[in-house]
Amino acid sequence: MMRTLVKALIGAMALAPLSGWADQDPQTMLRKTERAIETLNYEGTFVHIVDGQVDTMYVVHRVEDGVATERLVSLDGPEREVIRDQDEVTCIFSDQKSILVSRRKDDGPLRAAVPRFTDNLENHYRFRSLRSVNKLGRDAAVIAIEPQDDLRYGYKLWIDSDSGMLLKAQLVDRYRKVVEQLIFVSLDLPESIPAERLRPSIAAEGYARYVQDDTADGEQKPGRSAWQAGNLPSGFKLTASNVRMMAGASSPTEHLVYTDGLASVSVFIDQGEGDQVAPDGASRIGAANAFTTRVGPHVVTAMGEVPAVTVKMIARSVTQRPGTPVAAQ
Amino acid sequence: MKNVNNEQLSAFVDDELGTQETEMLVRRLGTSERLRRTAMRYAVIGDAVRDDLISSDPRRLPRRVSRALSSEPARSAGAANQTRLGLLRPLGGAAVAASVALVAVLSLSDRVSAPPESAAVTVPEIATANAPVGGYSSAMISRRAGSPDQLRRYYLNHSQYATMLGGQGPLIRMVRAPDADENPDEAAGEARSEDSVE
Repeated sequence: MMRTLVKALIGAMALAPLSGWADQDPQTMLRKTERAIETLNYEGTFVHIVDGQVDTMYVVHRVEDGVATERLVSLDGPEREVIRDQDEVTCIFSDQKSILVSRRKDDGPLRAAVPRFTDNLENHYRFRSLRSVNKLGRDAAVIAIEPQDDLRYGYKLWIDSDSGMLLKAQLVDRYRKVVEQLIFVSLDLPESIPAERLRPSIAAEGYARYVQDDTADGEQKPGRSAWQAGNLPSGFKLTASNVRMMAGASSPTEHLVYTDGLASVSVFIDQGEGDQVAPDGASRIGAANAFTTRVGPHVVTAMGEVPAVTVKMIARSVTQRPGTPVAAQ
Repeated sequence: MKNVNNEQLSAFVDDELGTQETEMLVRRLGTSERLRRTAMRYAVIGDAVRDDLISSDPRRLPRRVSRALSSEPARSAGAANQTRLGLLRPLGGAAVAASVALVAVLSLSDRVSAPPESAAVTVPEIATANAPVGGYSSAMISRRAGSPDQLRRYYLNHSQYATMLGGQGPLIRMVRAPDADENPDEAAGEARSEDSVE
């Protein structure tokens, strides 16, 4: 009898709507938001702002039989669309008259490396619940995630109290300047979405097609890399590494990914020859800072949505592991 | 005002367009669906930046803008201005934000779609998978002789691992594929700003 009762209780909890979020701790809300983004049907328009650049985008996210498919359309400038399903990411660029298809493993190293909110984030970030607000006609819980040092950015998130869906998100530096933000300006959460909504609107007849197969090449287990960063912010760990030929390169590039569970930094090791090498010193692209330096004949670049000082620190600490073959040469 | 440019549209959305130009623009809006849609998008972006989206149903905003713009295209400039004030509700200095947003939109469009000009450096052929992402412009490349192409490729690869802004972050970054700035002012990049969180 008791066992049946417990089972029923667990079942009821699993089926319960995500209401009363304001009473929950920010970490729990964060995990539920992550789940909502992956499992809900949604369709909407949002504004993405970074570095003074504003883009309006339309997104439709459909989940059918546990399989998520997503379509993202740029509403400004040249027509561009990205469609992602379980196996492929297809990018259609009308201005380039090209289609890029990236095939991916279902649970390969790349997807496995996508950072997840982990339990030890409290060691590096402070979580605060702020006053709820009304956003898009919905009650929005607001949480602030503040870094405990100057080596990573903070976050401020507006979360629909009913569904757990993200309504607005900001990446914030130590001076509270907003580095990057996403704001939904309309959002629908229908029970179901017709498959037709996922079809591209760009008639890509005659477009050049490029296929990058990420399922076969170059992935290696973390720890097998020939390179390592010796100076990382606390909590950052190597979660993925690979060696592969990148576009336009004549030699393979080694790519290491470090993350603390929220922020991620990539380290690229390349040959230092040719016209295509990244310039030495600090760079910025989108919300990401980058720093490039030389290690012998190699060019090392650290890049990520973290402060400039962090990528500089990491890039300057990259060394070859003793006794390991160097692929990027 | 035979052809309405984006600056004029921006000024109109921010209620900063001159009386005569406003009257003519309103007439054009009455006949051009494309222009109306662009104006609505700018208005929504401005409101989003100002955090001024109406709370009940955001879809009402474009409807209201559309209705107002198309119903009385030839009304007097003064009356038109009054209508826009009611619709767009610029809050103090917030109108500036819409202009900033619009300039950003325009600069992005210009940059992405810039046609190849006389090249000091040969524009690379689209050779492999990542190369076509983002708009190449020979002028852009010659300006950045240090070759930002590699940084752009790094950025696209890095973005596949990024998690910021929920699940949308990586895809957004792939769509945008922005240019690299080789000489960022680090101090400016992380300087104090009025655009701060609460």
